[in-house]
Amino acid sequence: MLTTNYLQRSLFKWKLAVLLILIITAMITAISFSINRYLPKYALAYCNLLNQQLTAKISFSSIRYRFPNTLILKNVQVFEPNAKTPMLETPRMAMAFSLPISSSGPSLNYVVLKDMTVDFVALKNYWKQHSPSLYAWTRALPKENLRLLLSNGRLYLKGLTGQPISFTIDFSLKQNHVAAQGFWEDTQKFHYELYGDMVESGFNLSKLDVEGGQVSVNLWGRWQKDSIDWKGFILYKKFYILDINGHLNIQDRDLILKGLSFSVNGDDVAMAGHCSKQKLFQCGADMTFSRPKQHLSPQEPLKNMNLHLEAQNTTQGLFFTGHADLNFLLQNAHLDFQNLKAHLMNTDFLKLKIDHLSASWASPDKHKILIENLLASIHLAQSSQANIALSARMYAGNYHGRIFLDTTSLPWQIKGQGKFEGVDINRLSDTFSFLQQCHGIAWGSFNFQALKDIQLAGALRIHQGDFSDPHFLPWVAKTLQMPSVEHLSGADLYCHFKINGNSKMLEYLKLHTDDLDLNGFFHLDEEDLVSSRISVRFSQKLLNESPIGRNILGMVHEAWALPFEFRLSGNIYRMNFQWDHSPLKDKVRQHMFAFVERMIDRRIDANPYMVPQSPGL
Amino acid sequence: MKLYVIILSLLLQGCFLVPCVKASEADLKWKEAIRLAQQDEPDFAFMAFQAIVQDYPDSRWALSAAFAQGEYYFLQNNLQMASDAFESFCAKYPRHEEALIALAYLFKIAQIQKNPDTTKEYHNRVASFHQLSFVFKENKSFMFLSGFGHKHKLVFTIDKTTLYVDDKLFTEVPF
Repeated sequence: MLTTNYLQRSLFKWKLAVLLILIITAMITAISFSINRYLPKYALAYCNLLNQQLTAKISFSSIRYRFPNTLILKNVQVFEPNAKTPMLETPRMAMAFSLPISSSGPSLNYVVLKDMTVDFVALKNYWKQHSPSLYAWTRALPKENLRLLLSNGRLYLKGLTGQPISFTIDFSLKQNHVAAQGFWEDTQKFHYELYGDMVESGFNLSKLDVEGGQVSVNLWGRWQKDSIDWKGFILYKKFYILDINGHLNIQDRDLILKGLSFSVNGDDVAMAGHCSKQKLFQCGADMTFSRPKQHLSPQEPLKNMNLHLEAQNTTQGLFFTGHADLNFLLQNAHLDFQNLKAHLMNTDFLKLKIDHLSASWASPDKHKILIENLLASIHLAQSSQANIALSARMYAGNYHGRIFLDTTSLPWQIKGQGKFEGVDINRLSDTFSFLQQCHGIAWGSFNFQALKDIQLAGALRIHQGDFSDPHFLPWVAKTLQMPSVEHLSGADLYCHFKINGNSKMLEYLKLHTDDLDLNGFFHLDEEDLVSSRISVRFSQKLLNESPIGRNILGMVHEAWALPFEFRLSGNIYRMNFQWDHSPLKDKVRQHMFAFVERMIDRRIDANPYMVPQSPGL
Repeated sequence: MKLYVIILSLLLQGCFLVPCVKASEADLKWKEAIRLAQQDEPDFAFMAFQAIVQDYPDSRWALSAAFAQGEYYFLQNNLQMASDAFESFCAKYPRHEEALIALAYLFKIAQIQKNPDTTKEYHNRVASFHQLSFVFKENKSFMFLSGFGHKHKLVFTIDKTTLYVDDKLFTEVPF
């Protein structure tokens, strides 16, 4: 009897348990069913609300409730207004809510997005247009504990057809403490970690570390109301960027970079600038670079640099205008450029266009070069090597050339070659003062290696030139006592020139004026030593101007028709001179006694003409 | 008054007498150095030339004696000391033609030592030393008899300077 009672009680308990399970299951099914029935409607209504707040279109193909607190959305897409392709897209999105145990009600506390696709260009455009409303919406969100996991995401930098960058983000917000970590990879994998705390009026960044490839970034700082401060250091390949100290102010319309300073391998860099919040690339910046004395060497002669840059974002693209002052160990240079436009074709191919570029330098004479419509195609063969193709308009002529740059090690290796044609010589007078008031054209080619080893070769044709060269002509004028030769007007000149480092050559030199005809060559080596042979015919008027010429005319009546042939040697400032054998010399000697010849030699030796020392031939 | 005149004249005589005595001593020393060089006693001759440079730096023999020091080292094949001595000579007598002979020695020493940088430096200094004009004559020359009795002859033309020692080609600096 007892046994029977016991069995009956047990059976009753089992029946009750099964019944309870069935009731609960039925309730869950009923709840799930009713939630699933009404969920799409509510979700769509909420999406519409979000669409209005964010000015974006959010869509999904289905939504399911999973007991007890999870919603699963499939094929979620976020569009820009009027866009046909989504800027954000994920095949599956899971959202978990807190259970409504407390009176505050359920809140979103876990979001998982898998295989998300991001169109960076579309997202950037959307951000540019709607950043204020997005910022306000973000700030209005309740500060609940939240974890956001984006796994195996793909970021497309240039449309959805290019090669994507995969990324993972694991973000958590717990009692105002923010932690995020993950990685993204292009050709190399970068891991990052971020820790910080949300405070009432901003964010304190305890640590942002990025590691990967050959780069290591360590930053920390704080965002307090409208002010952002950050410090840190970056190691990249052989570059040590240390003591980073930046301060940014956010104003109504602009972002103001109050100051950013750091050192690169011990060289100091400081920057300041501003940019528009509406047009991020509408900006201006000043940068100074200075190198301590102990870092200066002939291979690294740059002492300091000041750069001012203004960027203008127009419908035709992004343009830069600015100027730079560069102070080297032995010379100073100044660069001015207007409307520089850069266009990145691929990650390894950059095109630059500069409407106007002027470069001036003093070493120690002042020189200035003006270039228009400069086009540069820069191909990065490797991360440290570049092939640069250049073309430009220069002094009404054309220039084109190629440069190879290797920055693998210091000093940088540079090789180049180029050609120019149809250059208007009159416009070169800022660079070469002796060409002032000259008319003519120049063409030629050049090769250079490592900047110190420059080879320039070409030809020069000048019509109606006005010459006041400081070396050769004064020497002729003083030695032959012909003052009017010191300055030649209306001269026609033709010559081939070669400049190899500091040595210069003028070959096939032909100079013609109404009063003289000159042919020959003139070489000046890197030690200022001259080697020259000249044949010159003076007019009767010019010979009559000089006591020497008058004496010669007295002896040889046709002297103006015979060339005067001579050689020059020795130092440019104290040139040796020899009157070479020629029909004119032979005829003069026929009329002279030997003692008169010796007397003339002694007189000329006693009063040599020394060319004034003025560099920059 | 007379006494002052006498004292003054005595003082003046004294002033002139001292250099005269010094000059004659320098002459004697020079003669002694030449005699030693001729007797093939170069070491003692060198000491005598050195004494002239040190004791009688303003005498007329000081230049030749200073040159002879460099010449001595060169003849002894002590090229480094010869180079120092000729450099010092050039610094002391930069505008004398003898300095060009010293530069020609320095050029030769650099060539022997196979030092292209210093060879180039002395080449440039020789090439820049003069400014000459050859209107009718095509060459000019300069003669110098050294303390050790060697006849030096510099010949200048428009494109080179040549040094002959005892009528033999010593070195040629083309430019």
